[in-house]
Amino acid sequence: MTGDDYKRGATPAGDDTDRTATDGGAGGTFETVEWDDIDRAGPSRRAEAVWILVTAPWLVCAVQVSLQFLASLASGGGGGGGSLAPLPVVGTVGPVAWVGSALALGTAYYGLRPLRRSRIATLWLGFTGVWLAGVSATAVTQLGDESGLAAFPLLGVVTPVDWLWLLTVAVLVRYGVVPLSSNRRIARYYWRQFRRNTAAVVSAIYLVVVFVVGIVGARVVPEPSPTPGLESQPPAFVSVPSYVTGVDCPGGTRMEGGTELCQGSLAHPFGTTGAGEDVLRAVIHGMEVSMQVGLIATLISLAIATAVGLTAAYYGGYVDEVLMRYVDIQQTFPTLFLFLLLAYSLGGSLFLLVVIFGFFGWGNSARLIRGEALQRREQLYMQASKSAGASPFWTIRNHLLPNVSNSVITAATLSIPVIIIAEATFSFIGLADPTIPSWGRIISDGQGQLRNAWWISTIPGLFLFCTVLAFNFVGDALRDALDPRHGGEES
Amino acid sequence: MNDGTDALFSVRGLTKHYPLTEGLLNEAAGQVRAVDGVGFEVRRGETFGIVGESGCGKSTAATSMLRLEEPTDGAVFFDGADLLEYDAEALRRFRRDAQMIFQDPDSSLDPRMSVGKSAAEPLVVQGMDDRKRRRRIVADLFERVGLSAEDMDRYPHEFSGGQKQRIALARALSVNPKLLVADEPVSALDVSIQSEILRLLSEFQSDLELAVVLISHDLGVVREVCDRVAVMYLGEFVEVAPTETLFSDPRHPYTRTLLASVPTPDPAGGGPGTELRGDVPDPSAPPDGCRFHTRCPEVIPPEEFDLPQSTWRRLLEFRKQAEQDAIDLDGIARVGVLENEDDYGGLEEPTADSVSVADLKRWIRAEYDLPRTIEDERAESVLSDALDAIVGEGPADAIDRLSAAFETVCEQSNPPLERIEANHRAACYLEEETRSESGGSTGDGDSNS
Repeated sequence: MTGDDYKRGATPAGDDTDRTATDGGAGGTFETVEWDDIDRAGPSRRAEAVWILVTAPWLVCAVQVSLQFLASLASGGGGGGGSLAPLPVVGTVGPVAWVGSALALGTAYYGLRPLRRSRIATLWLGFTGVWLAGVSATAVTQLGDESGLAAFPLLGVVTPVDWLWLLTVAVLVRYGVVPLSSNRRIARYYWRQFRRNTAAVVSAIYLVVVFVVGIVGARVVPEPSPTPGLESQPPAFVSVPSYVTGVDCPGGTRMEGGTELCQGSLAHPFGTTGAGEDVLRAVIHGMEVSMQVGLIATLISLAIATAVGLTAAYYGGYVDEVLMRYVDIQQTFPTLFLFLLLAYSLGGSLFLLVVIFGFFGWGNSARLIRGEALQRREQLYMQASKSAGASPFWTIRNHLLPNVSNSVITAATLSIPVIIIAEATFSFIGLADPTIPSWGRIISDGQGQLRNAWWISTIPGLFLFCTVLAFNFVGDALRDALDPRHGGEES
Repeated sequence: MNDGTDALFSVRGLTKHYPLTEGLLNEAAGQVRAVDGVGFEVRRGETFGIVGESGCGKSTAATSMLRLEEPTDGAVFFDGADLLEYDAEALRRFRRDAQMIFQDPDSSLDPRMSVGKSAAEPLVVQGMDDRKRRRRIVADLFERVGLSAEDMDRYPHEFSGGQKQRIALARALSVNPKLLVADEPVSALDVSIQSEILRLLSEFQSDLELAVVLISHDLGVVREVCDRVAVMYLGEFVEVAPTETLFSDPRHPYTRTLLASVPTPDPAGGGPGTELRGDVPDPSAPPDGCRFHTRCPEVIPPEEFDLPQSTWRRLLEFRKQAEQDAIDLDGIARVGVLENEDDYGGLEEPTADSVSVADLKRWIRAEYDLPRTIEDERAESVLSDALDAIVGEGPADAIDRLSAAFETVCEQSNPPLERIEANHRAACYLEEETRSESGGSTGDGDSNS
């Protein structure tokens, strides 16, 4: 099977002459375009963007406050109405201000309508507005006073890692799911290429499961907590001598050869740790940690790598020289070492880890992307775009970036497993935040009991191993599916 | 320059030099003079052709005149305003009126973008944010260029080269420009498709009153669609004329050789059959004087000699070789010995010193296609003196003799592009000679020396 399926159904190439009979020619009038009107509409397009950026967080706040208000009405009984919940930074907003701002936004909309952005672009801009407002509120309260992170009326406290995670998932949806679902033909073609690699398909299913269970499960399943008496319970269908485990044994005990055996129970299908934490719960929370660290740090580092690599390749000359020499310098300073340094001085946290890997681990990816972009730079469509009047940014965003997306995806699949392993390593050696249920920490917890309670280290270790392996398989298959030199049809 | 008052697009002294750098510190080591003072003007509804060998700077001229690359010098007027003075915003607006079609349709369409989006790109970047309207305009154009509106959602690799060039044409026309610069628009296509694209181009050109600058190495293409043609050689125009005049009455030797190199269906009427010898000189070190004189089959001989053109051409080449110290006497001796086994049978490692002087001189003449004796006695004596010097005391003396005697006006200074008759200009001293013979007015002293 070759990639020809993608071509099938398209206009057969080479039958150029038989179609010329139908050409409409230059006769008749062309649609006249009043460029002056279009130029005049430019500022209103910018105003529209501002309006969306402001309205979206306003809406989110309004929904939160009114839901909270209704809830307080319901619970407050007939005590003369509920109260308006305070918002971070701005405090309590009175009814007059709510109505006033609503009127102002409504009037502005009346002036702007109809909005000319597509629905997806509007949604995305709205999300950006919400995200920026939320992050700034969190940052202001964090830096401004000692009361800690901002609490939102309905959402409660959203940690910095949560904000980044939200952004990462949104970017995956916006630039992964949406384009593929709106262009089914291309999506089907990529899928046909991808499914030729069975290991990668299995890996992809595994990763989707880990991703979904990590996102949903970690919000639903309570965090594992040490439980006295339930230490070192074996997994279901496994029994170990009772002296290994804690005093309780929910799976029951039985005697065998003069030794009392504690049997595993379905209450703790993966057993418990030496401190009595449920390993299954720890694994589920560990999925979230691994996915968060791997994906967020990769998103940040690839965003920087792409920006630097494409800028260097597009402009060349001194810009290229300065950017790439900076990459050389940054590369001489290992990310691991930087993290060690900061973890000692500031205390290791997930946020620090993500930031360090995100902001200092992009050198190799930037080189990879620049190399690819240098070739694309010479293509005539770059010049054609310029001759259409496009700005350098537009050309980079709409031509250079899509054409180096193979390299970006390759760089991502190389980077994610490295970062996941690094996080596990730091947790293992105890440099990360010990309250975070990372796989690395559980593995480290169990290593002293490897002889008696093998499951504590082995089960999270197996998940770590499989996750890293799956990312590598999927990366290989994606590379082959997207790369024109491997039988694809994009050339 | 010319009566440029009603010209839509007028280029004056356009120059594009690329710096050659070397070393770590990017020290300037010279310049590639890709385009060196090119000027022309195009009116509405007119097609102006630029023709020349590959590497002569045609494409650079195209990109420079639209400021896709910044020209080194010159002025480019569009609708009376110099677009070299434009800022980025004015330049963006200018691109609504001036569009370009590129040589290779495989590379000029983004493989990751549907062709409909590619064709609508000028509309998008020019600020038209009404998607339905863009689609309407592009769908209409697709029909006009002979594709169907359903093709808009397909990707470039699903089309043939000719279809892609139609899409490129639709893209260029989407903003309804006044000027179209087409850089080798059909040279990447099959001959059968070329004429279709050219027909389409000239149809739009006449219906939309487009000014077109068409760049090609193919004289047939130029002849088919152009109203006026400029012939370009090494970054300069050597002749500019209305198409029919240029083809019927070429005045520059380069134009004549180009025309002669076109295969004719009639074997009897093959023309003079002159062909270009040698390669295009390095544009980073163009020859002094007329840039074509190193290859020119009609290079002007000094008046005191009466030489056949072919002999004169060879004498000049021999002189150039001597000046560059490129005459390899030992090599010539080796070849000569091989060809004359009878006389030098026993010679193992022949050098210039081990053969007789008379033979060596004869072999040198053979090597450079020089006749055994030149009919013109003065020329013969200069040559034989020079040969004596080369074989004897060394080439320095020979160079002096040769340079003093065999000097041509063509290498002294670059002939300007002068008007021969209305609309016909050429840069060649031969023209000045004919004019001064027929009592013409112009001509600087050099040309008659």
